Amino acid sequence: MLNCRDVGSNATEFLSGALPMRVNLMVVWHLLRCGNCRLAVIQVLTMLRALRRRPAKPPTEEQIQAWLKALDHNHDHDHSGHSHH
Amino acid sequence: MATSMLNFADISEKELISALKKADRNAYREAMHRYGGAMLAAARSITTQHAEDAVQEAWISAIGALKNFENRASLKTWLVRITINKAYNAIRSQRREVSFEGLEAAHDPLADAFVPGGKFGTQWHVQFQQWTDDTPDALLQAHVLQECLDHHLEDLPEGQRLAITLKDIEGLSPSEICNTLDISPSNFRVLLHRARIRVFGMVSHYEETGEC
Repeated sequence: MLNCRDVGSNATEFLSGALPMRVNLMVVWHLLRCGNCRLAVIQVLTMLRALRRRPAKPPTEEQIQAWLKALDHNHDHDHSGHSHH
Repeated sequence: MATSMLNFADISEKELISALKKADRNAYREAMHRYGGAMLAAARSITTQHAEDAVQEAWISAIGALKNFENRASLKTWLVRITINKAYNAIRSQRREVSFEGLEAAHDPLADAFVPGGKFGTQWHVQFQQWTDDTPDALLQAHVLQECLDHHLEDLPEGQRLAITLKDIEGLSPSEICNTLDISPSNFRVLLHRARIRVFGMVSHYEETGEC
């Protein structure tokens, strides 16, 4: 039978569905009987869902301008290169 | 480079890709606004120093390769993947490898998390409390928590930060991450698990105390 350390060590793999079936069943069996592990696993799952939906900080206008300028520069460079051929 | 008069803010990804393929400057700007943040975050997880350059090079490569984009992945995933390669190349060109110090036992966040006792023989050192913000949306709306998350993600050992950023925030597949970073699937799993548990510990501490 798994103890809480075993469940904690396998918690994120369990949530990813990546555990072998036998270990997976043992984790489920433990979770049915252990409220503290159940709460921990639910909270890890909540945290992972929040991370996945977390919007990235948008780039600044200066960064966008710099990227556009680099594209312009590259575009000009490509065209001047072609004209030599 | 062409410039259209269309408003791109509300167009679909498919329409945006079509406009990008026509080299529309406003489409470039919209794509940069939509995906530039995710590209910067991915690049920073690999190299803070070269992140801006990596994203700039990624845009140049991506625009050049757009005609080959086949919609197998989303545009964001494709751009992030290119950015990761650029960032990784940047640190390789400096003859520096990504550090995987997060694999060492000293970086196991569960090392001291358990004590003997309880009905299973070993139990958690702490009794978890129900979170106040117990849904993903509520967690996201806690701005202090977001700042706290940024702070803790920066402090993770490099390998752990890479694993959680690329997998859980940017949504890349484990095989893509292992191929790009040249690490084994088992090492990746250890890094990801430890990163998740450390971030969970941080969120849990914040939820219980209100402190970062």
